[in-house]
Order: sequence, then C-alpha cells, then structure tokens
Amino acid sequence: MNIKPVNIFLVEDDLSFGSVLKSYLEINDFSVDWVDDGKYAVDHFRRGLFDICILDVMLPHVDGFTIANEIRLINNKVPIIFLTAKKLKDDVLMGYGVGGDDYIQSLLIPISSLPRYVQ
Amino acid sequence: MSRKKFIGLIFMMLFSIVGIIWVQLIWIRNAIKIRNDSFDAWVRTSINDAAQSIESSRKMSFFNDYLLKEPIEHVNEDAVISGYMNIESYSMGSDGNFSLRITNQSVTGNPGETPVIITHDTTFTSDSVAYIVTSTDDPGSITIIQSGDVVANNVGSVYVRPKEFIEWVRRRQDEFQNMSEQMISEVYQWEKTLELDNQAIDYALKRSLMFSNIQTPFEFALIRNGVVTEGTYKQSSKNDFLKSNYQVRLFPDNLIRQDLVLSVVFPERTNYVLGSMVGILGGSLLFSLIILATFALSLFFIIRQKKISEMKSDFINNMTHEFKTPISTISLAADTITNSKVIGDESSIRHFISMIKKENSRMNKKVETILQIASLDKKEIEFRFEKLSLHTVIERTVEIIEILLLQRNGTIKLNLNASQPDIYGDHDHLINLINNLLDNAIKYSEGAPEILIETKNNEKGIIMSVTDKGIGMSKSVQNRIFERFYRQASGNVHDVKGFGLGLNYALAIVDAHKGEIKVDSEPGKGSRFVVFLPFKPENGK
Repeated sequence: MNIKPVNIFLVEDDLSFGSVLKSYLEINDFSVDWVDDGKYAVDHFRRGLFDICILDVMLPHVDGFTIANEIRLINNKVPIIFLTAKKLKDDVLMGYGVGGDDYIQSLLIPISSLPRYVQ
Repeated sequence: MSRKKFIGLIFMMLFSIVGIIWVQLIWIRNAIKIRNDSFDAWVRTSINDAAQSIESSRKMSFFNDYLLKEPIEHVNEDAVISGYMNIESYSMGSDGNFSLRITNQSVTGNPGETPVIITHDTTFTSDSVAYIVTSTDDPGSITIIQSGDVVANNVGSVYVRPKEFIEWVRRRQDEFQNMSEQMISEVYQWEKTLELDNQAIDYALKRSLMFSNIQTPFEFALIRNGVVTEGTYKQSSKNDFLKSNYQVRLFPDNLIRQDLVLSVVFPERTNYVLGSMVGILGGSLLFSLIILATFALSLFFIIRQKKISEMKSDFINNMTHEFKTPISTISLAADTITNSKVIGDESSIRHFISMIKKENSRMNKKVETILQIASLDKKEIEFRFEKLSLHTVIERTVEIIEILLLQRNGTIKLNLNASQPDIYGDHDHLINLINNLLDNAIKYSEGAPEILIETKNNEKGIIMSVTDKGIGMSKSVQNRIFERFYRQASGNVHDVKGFGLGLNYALAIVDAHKGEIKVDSEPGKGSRFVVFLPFKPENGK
C-alpha cells in the first residue's frame, strides 16, 4: 500500500452503489471523494486534487462523457475510468474518444489494478 | 444503420424514382407527339383527297349535264336571228315618217338554260324603209316593202341581217367558246356550291378518312370568305372550324375566285389519340404507382424498424444499467464484508447485509415489472373484477408512495369529490395504475413534487385526474408516452430511471376496464393525467 493515499474522484448517481463502492475503496486504503450528481461534478473536481477519476456515464443532468471532456480541459493527465453498464461498442469508443483511459464495463472494479493508473 | 447512410439511401431512392418518372414522362410525351403528328398528316392527306374528289365529282356532273349535250345554235341556216324578236319601240309622225326599233336576241345553246345571249338592236326609220311586213309563220323574217323615200323602189323580201353580221356572230361564238364553257362551268359550280351537298362532302370525307384508317367522328363546315356557312356541326362551335388545323381550299383553280374552305374538326381527337395509347399510358402509370408505393412502404418499414431498434437498444441499455447497479452493489458489499478489516466488525457487517437485502428487493421489483409487461404482451394478465371504492384504492396507493414522496419533501393533495366512488375493477391493478401515475409525477418533478388527485362523477363512471407541477412535456412526447419502452429522457443523461413501461402498463389496465386515459401537459408547467373508469367495464366506451 502506498504511504500517500490515492485520491479517487468518484461520480456515481446510484446512492446504494455509490456508498458501497466508497466504503469498499476506503477499506482498500483509497481516499474517495464521491459526487452523486453530474451537475456538481466539474466544480468539485476543480476544488480537489485527484489521482484517478471514476465516472459513471448515465447521470442526471450531465452525462459522464461531458464531464470527462470538461475534466480534460482542466487536467489532461489525470486518468479517467468510465464505470458503467453500457457496453455497446459505440459507447466504448466514445469513452476513449473523450479522453478516457479505461472503460470498465462490468462495474467490478479490479482494485489491484487501480494504482497502476497513477503515475 | 448510421444516419448518414440512411439519408443517403433515401436520397438515392428519391433520385432514382424521380428519374424513372421523368424518363417515362418524356417517353410518353414523345409518343403522344408522334401519334399526333401522324394523325395530322393522315388527316391532311385525307381531306385533300376528299376535296379533290368533291371537285372532280362536280366536273363530272358538269360534263354530264352540259358539254356532252350539243348546244342548239341555229334553228335553220337562213334564219340566223333565231330566237326572240321584240319590237322595242314604234313611233309614226303625221307626215308619214316613222321609227321602229327591233331587238333581236341570238341565243346559243338550249333556250332557258344557256345564259349567253347576243343582243342586237336594229332601227328602221322612214328614211330607209317604207313598209315592213312581218310574217307570223316565220318570226325571224321581216319583209321590207318600201325603202327610203322612193316608194316601191326596192320591193321584195330582204333579210334584216346582213351576211357579215352572221359571220361576226359566228366568230364571236368561236372566240368565246372555251371561255364560255369555262364560265358556264364555274358559274354552274358557284351556283351549285351554294347548295353544296353536305351529304356528298360527308361521303367524300368519310371515304378518304376510312382509307387512312382514322376512325374518330368528325364534323365539317364550309368557310366562305372567312365566315362559317354550313356543315354538320353539333359539338364544335364555329370558332373551332375557323381555328382548325385541318382546312383545305375547294376549287382552287377556278377563274372566278371564291374563298371557299372546307374545314374539318375532330371533337374527340385528343381522346382518340390518347385512347390508342391507353395501354402504354395505363401500364406506365400503374408501374410508376407501384414503384412509388413500394418506395413509400419500404421507407415506412425502415423508419419503423429503425425506431424499434433504437428503442430496443435504449431499453437494453437501460435494463442492463438497472440490473447491473444492484448486482455490482451486492458484489461489492460481499467483497467488502470479506475484507479482514470489516469481517470482525458486526455493525459494519449488518450495514452491508441490509444493503445487499435492499438491492436484492430492488432487483426483484424490476423483474416483477418486466414479467408484468411480458404477461400484458401475451394477454395473459388476469383480472379479478370486484366492487370496490376507487377512493379507498387511491388512499392506499398514496400510503404506499408516501415514503418516496417524503424523501423528496413532496406534498400530495386529495380532492376526492366523486359522490359515487364505487366501481367494478381489479384492486391490485388499479393500485399499480395509480402508483405508476404518482411515481411519474414524482420522478418528473424538479425539487419538491406537488401532486393533486381529484375525482368526480359523470353519468357513466368516475373521472380521476393526477396533476403535477413537474417538467411537463411537449406535444410530440405526449403522443408517444403510452408506447412501450418510450422514455422522455434518453441518451446518456440519466435523469429519470425506468424502463419506459409504466404508462404502457397503465394504458393496458385502463383498456381492460374499458376506460380512457388522456394526458394534458405543457413543458415547464406540469402534466395532468385524466383517467376515466366506468362503473362497470361493460358500460364503458
């Protein structure tokens, strides 16, 4: 485990899944900032310093791809992972198109691989 | 199929069909033109033939009537002045002087029929003639008894006409022989054409048109000096004849010019020409229509298929999201529990287990919804109709939904004014129906939902309305909300969760109760769903 905790920026609108995922990641020694509405996501990102972004695609008001685009305007280095059930080919390509680094389709986060996104 | 390809396909189809129709139109136009031209050519030839035959028949009758009959020139050789003799004037003075004028008319040809008359006046005076004796036996001879002052100086019979005069008459006759024949012929014709036999013209036209194989009725008229005089016309106006393309001059070689034109009109010409092409025209029109119909149908099917596939992919996307979320939550919760830091902490374990249970029941509810709609689809849905109070049903549903409403700080107001709330209906399905309407009212409200439920009676049943002050919807959305899988929110913005089945189900329930469901909405102002339920389903619409 790293001495300095990895800061994760999580955008997920489902309250149950969001809370469980947050607990799960925290138990695994990550620090998690969780936003449950796309509307506030970019503002929140601006205020913090994050090592990884995990974004849901289907969100209220603003979708994940749009958020990723805006994050890329602010920071073009932070790894972005899309976290969604959407697995149609177009969506995956779109995910990479807007500057995503990975597209996790199963929603099952491979904890062990998360640190490798961090430089 | 991508949108670009689809538009390209439509464009290609449109382009080709327009091209096909265009080419066909050109072909048809050319064919009609050729037909018209050949018709015109045949008609011109025919009426020229007819005019010639009319003319030649006239000539023949002239020859028959005149030339072949020998004109009677002189009654006898001696009496040159045959014909008539009139005493025009006679005067006698008291001194015995007198004056006598005699008009002789020399007639060639048969008297009465021959118009050429040679007139010669002879005047006798007392200077030259003393006595004249006329013979009643021979009106051509006059006997001069006394000539001049000398009485009986030249007694005896003399002919009034000198020999030279007879010669002169003969010469004149010869000179004008040909001309007079011609004149006679023409005058005769001119006279006869005044009463030009319609039947003869009709016959001539009919015969020559028949030879040209033109079998449409015709009408003709004679145009004399630019005025339509006579003919057989019923359908056509006089103007038609003046403007007709089919005109021919009659007797063009005559010396006495007369502007006589035979004009023919075919009142059914257009129909005749088109009629001869009816097969080609009809076939081409039919096939064009079939192509057009096929085009429209395939376009319709493509668009419908596209819509269905869009809705399907939307639904699948939606469903996977709806199921994957609880599955992932459960899986993550289980993973968390097994973590060494949590496994000893009982309160944490309880928390995660309650989470797992909650997600489980959530999934269960979703499966129920899908099964419900599947059974609706197969018409397997079972209804148990019983007498119930709609007000009770509404109140029970409100109780169920209250927790959801509280989470959103919403309020609900009931104005249950129906004096007769009892209807025959299925309790569970009615609860689901009202639940779906209330669920939508909450889902599609921004901020705290404000919901109003009202009921009132009409003579056949109860009218229930559910009004919210939510985001509302446009007319085009209103038209589609009862469609299965249709959801207002689409794409990746996931404002409102659901399968797009709720209102489709509601419609099915209302239909089963023989009621009606309508929506009235304005974007930004809210929606109002009005449900009519009859007292008994059999009394419904």
